[in-house]
Amino acid sequence: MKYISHLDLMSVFQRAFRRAAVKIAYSQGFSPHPKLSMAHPLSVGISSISEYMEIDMEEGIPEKEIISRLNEVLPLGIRIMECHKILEKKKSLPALVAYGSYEVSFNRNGIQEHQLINRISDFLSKDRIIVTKKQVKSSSVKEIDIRPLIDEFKMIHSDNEAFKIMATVKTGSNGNLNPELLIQSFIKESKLEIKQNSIKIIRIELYFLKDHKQVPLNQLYKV
Amino acid sequence: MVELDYLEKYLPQVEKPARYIGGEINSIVKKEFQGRFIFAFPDIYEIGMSHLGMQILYHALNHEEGIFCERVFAPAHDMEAIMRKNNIPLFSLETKTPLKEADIIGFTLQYELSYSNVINMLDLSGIPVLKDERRERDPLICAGGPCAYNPEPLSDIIDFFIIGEGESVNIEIMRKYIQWKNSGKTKFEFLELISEIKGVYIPSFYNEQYNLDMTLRNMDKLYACAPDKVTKQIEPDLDAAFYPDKFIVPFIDIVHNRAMVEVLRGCTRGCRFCQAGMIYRPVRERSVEKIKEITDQLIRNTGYEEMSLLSLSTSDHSGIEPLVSSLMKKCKEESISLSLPSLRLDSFSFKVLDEIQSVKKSGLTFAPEAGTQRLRDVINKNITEDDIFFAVENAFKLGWSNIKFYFMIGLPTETYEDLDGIIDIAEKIIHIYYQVRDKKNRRKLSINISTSNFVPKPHTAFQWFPMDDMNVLSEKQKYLSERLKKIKHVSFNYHDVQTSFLEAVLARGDRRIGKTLIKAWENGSKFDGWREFFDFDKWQDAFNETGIDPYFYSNRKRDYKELLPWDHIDAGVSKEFLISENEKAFKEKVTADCRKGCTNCGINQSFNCKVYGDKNV
Ligand code: SF4
Repeated sequence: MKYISHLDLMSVFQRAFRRAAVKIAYSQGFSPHPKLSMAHPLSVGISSISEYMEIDMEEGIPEKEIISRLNEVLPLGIRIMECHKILEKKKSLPALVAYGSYEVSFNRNGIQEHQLINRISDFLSKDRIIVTKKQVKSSSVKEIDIRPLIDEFKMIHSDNEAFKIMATVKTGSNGNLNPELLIQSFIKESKLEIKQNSIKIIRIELYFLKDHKQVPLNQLYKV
Repeated sequence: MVELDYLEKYLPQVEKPARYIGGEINSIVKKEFQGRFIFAFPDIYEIGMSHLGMQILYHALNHEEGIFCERVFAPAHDMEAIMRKNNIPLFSLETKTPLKEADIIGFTLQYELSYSNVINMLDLSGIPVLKDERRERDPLICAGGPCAYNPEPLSDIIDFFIIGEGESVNIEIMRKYIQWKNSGKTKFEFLELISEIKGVYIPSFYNEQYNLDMTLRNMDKLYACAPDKVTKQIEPDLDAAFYPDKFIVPFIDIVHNRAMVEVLRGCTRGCRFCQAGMIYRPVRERSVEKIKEITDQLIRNTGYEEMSLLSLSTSDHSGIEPLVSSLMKKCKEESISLSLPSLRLDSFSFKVLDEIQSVKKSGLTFAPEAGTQRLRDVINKNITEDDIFFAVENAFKLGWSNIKFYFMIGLPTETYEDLDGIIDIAEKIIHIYYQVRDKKNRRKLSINISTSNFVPKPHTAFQWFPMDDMNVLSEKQKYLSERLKKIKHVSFNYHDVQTSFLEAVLARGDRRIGKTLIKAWENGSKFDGWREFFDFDKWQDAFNETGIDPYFYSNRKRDYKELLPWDHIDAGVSKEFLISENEKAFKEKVTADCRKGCTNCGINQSFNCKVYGDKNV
C-alpha cells in the first residue's frame, strides 16, 4: 500500500465504502465529492500503522459493523482498527494534527552504534539545519531551516543488521516536515554511509496538542 | 518467483511502483491449478488495465477450475532499465512468476505499433523471440485481438494466433493444453491438436510463395490438419457468453477509471474505412435485463465511481432508451456517474446527456470523419451536415461550449475541396454559436479539430487502396493548420505522419516484414505508439538493413486479383461484398445501414446473423 499516492488512496477508500455498502455523504453542488478526509497525507514509499480518517455518513450504521464490512472489502495492507462516532464536532482532523512520529530503519552498513549516536547529537546541536527544497510550481529552489520542525530524533534500536531511529516532527498546517527530507538531510550532514535503498519509514502516530502536550489522535473521540 | 522483498529495493526508484505490485481488488491468485496462462498486454499498465477485453478474458479463464490466468504489462523505461541491470526477468503481477515459467503466454494485439513491445517483452522474459529458436520447455506464445486478423507480420514470433473472440476458445485451448501436458507429446503435436479448433491459426503449418513482382502467389498448407481458411471464432449469444461480475480495480489512476458493460458487439453501419465494423459482425445485443444484472454486480463488486456502456455504436441497441433511463436512476442512487462514450447525438441522447452530464459539461465529440458530403458518401459515413448542425445547436443551447471534431485525411478520392469542407464546418459552427448565445452567455467557445491519417486496413472495403504519400499528408496538414489557426476559437491538432506510415506498413504486411520488426527492435524501437519514444530513423534503418521496401506495403494500389496476405483468414464478410463496397465508394454511392435491409455482406453464410434473420424470416 505504501506505493500508492494520497489521492489514489482516497479513491481506494471511496470504492471500498461503495463495495461495503457503507454510504458516505456527498457534497452538494457543481461536482459532488464524497465527504471523507484523512488527517494527514502519507507520502509515497512510507508505511503507516496509524492513519485517521473522518467521514460523513449518509445513514447510521453501528461502528462494529462498519469495521467488519470495510475490512472484508479492503485490499490487503489496509485494515480498519477502530471506529468512533463523532458526537460533538470539534475541529476537523487535518486542522488538529500537529505532530507525527516516524520509525526510520536502515542497514548498519558498517556503521558503529556510538558513531550514529554521536552524529545524531551533532546534528541536533546545530542552531539551524538548512535544506533546499524544489518548489513544485515555480521549479525554483527554496531554503528552509528544518531544525525548529524536529521535536525528537533518536536511535531506539540497534542489532547486527539494522538501526532504528524514532523521529517526531511537526506535521500539519502549522509547520510540516517530511520525514524523507529529514533523513536525507541527516545523511548529508552526518556523512554516514547509509544505504539509500535499505531505508524504511513507518508512520507510528499522529498527535494533536492539548495544553501544549502531544496527545495521540486516537484519544480525541474516546470517551 | 521474483520475491517482492527483493523488488522492494528497487520499486521506490521507479515512477508509479503500483504498476508492478499486483494485489488489486478482484485480482486472483490461485494455489492449485494445472495450466498457467499469462495474459500479456504490450503497453504500460494504465493502458492495458483500461482495456475491456483484458478484464473479460482474465476472469473467463480464472472462472475455470484448474486454469490460472495472470497478467503482465510492458514495463515502463525506468523499470525496464532496473530489470535489465539487475537481471530481473519479466514477471507476472499476480504471483511474480517469471514469464518463462508460464504454460501459455497470450499477447493481445490492439494496435500495430505495439509489435515492438511484444518482442521486447519476450526478450525481457529471457524467452527466445523467434519461435523456431524456442525449445520444448519454453512457453507457447499466442496472440489475438483485432490485429491478429492479419497475423503474418508476427508469424516468425507467435506459435499460434486466435482469430476472433476469445471468451470460450481460450478455455478450450487451455483444456487441450492440460491434456497434452500430461501426455509427454511434443509441442508440434499440441499444435496439431488445436489446429482443429475454429479460430486457431498456426503459421508454421503454412508456407508462402511469392511472384516475381513480389506479390503473394500461394499460401501452401504443409499439413493435412491445417484448414484451408481459418474462420474466426465468435460468441453466438452475448447473454450466454461469459461476462465478469467483477473487474480488477487498480490502485492507481489509469486511462479509464470505470466499470464497463459491453452492450452490443458489431456494427451494421458499414463505414468503409472501419475494420471493427467488419470483423465484429454479426451484430449481437446483450439483453437489457442482462445488462442491468451485470451493472448491479459491477457496482457492488468494484465500487467504481463511474459506469460506462460500451460498444461500437451504443445508440443502435434496440432497448437503449429504457436501458439508459433505468441505469440513470440506479447510478443516481449509488452516487456514481454514467458514461456513454459512443452515443449518436440525436434528440434522445441530448435528453440523457443533459441529465447525466449536468455537472460536467466537459466536451462533446463528433466524428464526421470527412469534410464534405461527397467524401462522407465515399466512406459511407452516414452523417449529414444537418445532423451535425442540429446537434451542435442543441449542445450550445444546453450549455456546452466545448466541441471536438474528428476527421481523417488521406481518404480515397480526397481533394483540397474536402479539406476546405472541414474549415467550412468550423466556421459555420462559430456562426451557430453566435446565433444561439447572446453576448452575455458567450462563455469561451472552444472548437477542437483533430485529424488522423487514414490507414487502409485488412478486411475492409479499402484494403486494396494505397495510403497517401507521407509528404502529401504533411502538405494537407499544413494546409489545414494555416487556415484553421486564423480562425478564432479553433484549435487544431493532427497525428504524426511517420507513425501512421509505419502503422500502414505493419497493418498490411506479410511474413517478409517479420525480420524488419526484429531488426527495428534490435535498433532500439519500442513503445512506437508513444510520440516521445517513436524514432522513425530506427525503422528506416531496419527497412534498409533487411532489404524491405515499406512503400510496397503502404502506398501500392493492390489489384482485386492479388492474393492478399490475410486472405486465408476468414472474418466472415465476403470478398465480393468488400469489392462491391470499394466500387461503390468510387462512384460515391452509399450503402444503407443493414438494419433497414440486408446488404449481403456475407456474414450470414458462416454465422447466424440476427439482423438478417429478423428481417427475412
Ligand atoms: S448479413 Fe445482411 S443483415 Fe447481417 S450484417 Fe451482413 S448485411 Fe447486415
